[in-house]
Amino acid sequence: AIQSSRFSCVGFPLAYIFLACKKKSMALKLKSSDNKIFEVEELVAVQSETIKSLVEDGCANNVIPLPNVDSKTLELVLDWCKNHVDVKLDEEKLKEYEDKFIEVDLAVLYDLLMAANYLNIKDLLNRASQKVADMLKGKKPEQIRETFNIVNDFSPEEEEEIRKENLWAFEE
Amino acid sequence: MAVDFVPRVSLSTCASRIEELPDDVLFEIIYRLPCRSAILCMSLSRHWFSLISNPYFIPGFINHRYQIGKHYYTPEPFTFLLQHYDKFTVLPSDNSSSESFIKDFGHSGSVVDFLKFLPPGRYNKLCIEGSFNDLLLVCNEVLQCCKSDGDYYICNPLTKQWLTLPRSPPMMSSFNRPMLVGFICEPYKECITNVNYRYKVVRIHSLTESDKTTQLWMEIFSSETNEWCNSFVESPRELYRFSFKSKRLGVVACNGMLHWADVDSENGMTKGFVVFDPQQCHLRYIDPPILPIECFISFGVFQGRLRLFYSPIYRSPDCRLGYCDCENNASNISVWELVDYDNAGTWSLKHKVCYKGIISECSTFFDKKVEEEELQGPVKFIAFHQNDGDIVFLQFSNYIVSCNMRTKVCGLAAIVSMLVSSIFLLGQPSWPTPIHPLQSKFECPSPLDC
Repeated sequence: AIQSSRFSCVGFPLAYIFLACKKKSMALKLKSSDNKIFEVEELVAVQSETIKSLVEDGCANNVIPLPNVDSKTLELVLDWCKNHVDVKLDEEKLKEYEDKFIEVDLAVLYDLLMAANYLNIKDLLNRASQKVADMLKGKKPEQIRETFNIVNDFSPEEEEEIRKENLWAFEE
Repeated sequence: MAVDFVPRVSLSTCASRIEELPDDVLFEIIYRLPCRSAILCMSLSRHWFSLISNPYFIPGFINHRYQIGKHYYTPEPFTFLLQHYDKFTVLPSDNSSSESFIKDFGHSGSVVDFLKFLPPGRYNKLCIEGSFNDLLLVCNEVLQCCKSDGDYYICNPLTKQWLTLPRSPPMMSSFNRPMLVGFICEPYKECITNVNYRYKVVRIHSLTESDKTTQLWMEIFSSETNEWCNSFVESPRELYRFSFKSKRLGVVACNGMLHWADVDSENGMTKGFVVFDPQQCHLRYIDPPILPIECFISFGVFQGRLRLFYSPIYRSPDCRLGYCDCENNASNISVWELVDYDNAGTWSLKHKVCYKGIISECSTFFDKKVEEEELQGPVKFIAFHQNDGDIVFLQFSNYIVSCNMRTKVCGLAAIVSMLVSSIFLLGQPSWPTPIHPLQSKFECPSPLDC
């Protein structure tokens, strides 16, 4: 099933589209883990360092399989990439876009982190990591465990020892 | 801006997936936390503990902050500790950034309370002798009569880690003059991510009963040998013997060197600056830019560069009458910066403002309690702001005022209820400087990947 890229270019000046057409940027085909094929401009896709090196090595002529990214996540990631093609864009609008983009629930955030890491998209990885860090910041360990569903596998003695060794950080 | 988002349905509600993220990604997340939060994360689970206790974690954390700082300048908060005998007051860089410091230690108090994490001893008093970045050198004076005998501690007041230096050899019994103490702490390599530090503590004695001498006696403790050693160092110039004024101006560490003022013991005027290289055991002398005939000179460090603060001894009477001869150095406050450090001779004038202008700005912050006489004397210089080169901290009576020398905007920074006998700059780096126990036999730490 070919799903042509159907992302809106809202906030994208016509100049970019014009530029892209003029450059005759090649279209790349990406295949998600659930076998959906995405057709995207090369300029958009090469923001992923992983894809970029494939293109440079001439391995991008056929469909590029991305077995670690599902279609739902890939769609989001490509939307991010489209909005970051031209970084000279209005910074304020870009920030607004990023803030809205990253307002997702934890499960989606994990998917984005995994995908950004696998595809090696620095700015997306940074933004998503920052989002998780903001959720961790200023919370007590118990609260963090609850939010992120982390199982405490320390014995009470071990936990107390860590506390004692770093008392300054644990003190209220 | 409208963004056409695809509806998201998250099928997996199993939120413990954070544990499934690769370690690299988890590091990216933890690097973005304040260090206190990062340490708290150690107690989440064994996996998180192993991440944060990984030897590459702290270098990675520091490097991450460093890289961010290169792109987006974020000023590092700092704190000045003002000390007078057994009391101290905190002068924060700004209220928000030093919040945690003040939360931990309060705005002021007794030095013994502040340092109560140090081992209980039979000390008469604890005295802060030096600072380097976020570390303090503290002296525990055991007996009042032989003042210089005591234990030295190096401590980090934030993490409350400390170590005791070996006892220094006993002093010559008749020696009871002010001595200067310098403290330097450096990472091993020229590498910002190295987390192993070496310390040097230098006790400087002037060997003269009379006025001047060319010979100084140094007792130097080095963490690399873990012992004190003695050396006599020749100065290229005759130096005045140390006075309490030279102690008040202090020993400033900058570029791996120790600096102190050569102060005329008769009139308290700063004649020049002495630079001591503790590696080579070598002394240099730096002349000030203008002969200090009519000015008091204080000094300090601003972003790794030596700076001087000139202030007139007396306010010119003309100034009070509304006329001020700003061409005359005697009625100006000026700030100078040493530009050719290695050759040590060229000073660049950073600021020159009319004394009157600054005083009248500042005085809007004092109520009438400040006596007219109090404002007559020389301006008491406290310190240079560490992030803004235009700002200096000055003291008038009980008020510490921050003065912007360029815009002439002044603000009340702190109120002190004491005299200030010594001032220490305490940094707040992104990760607190760790204190490792001294090794009896020095082993070079294995270099970490930078």
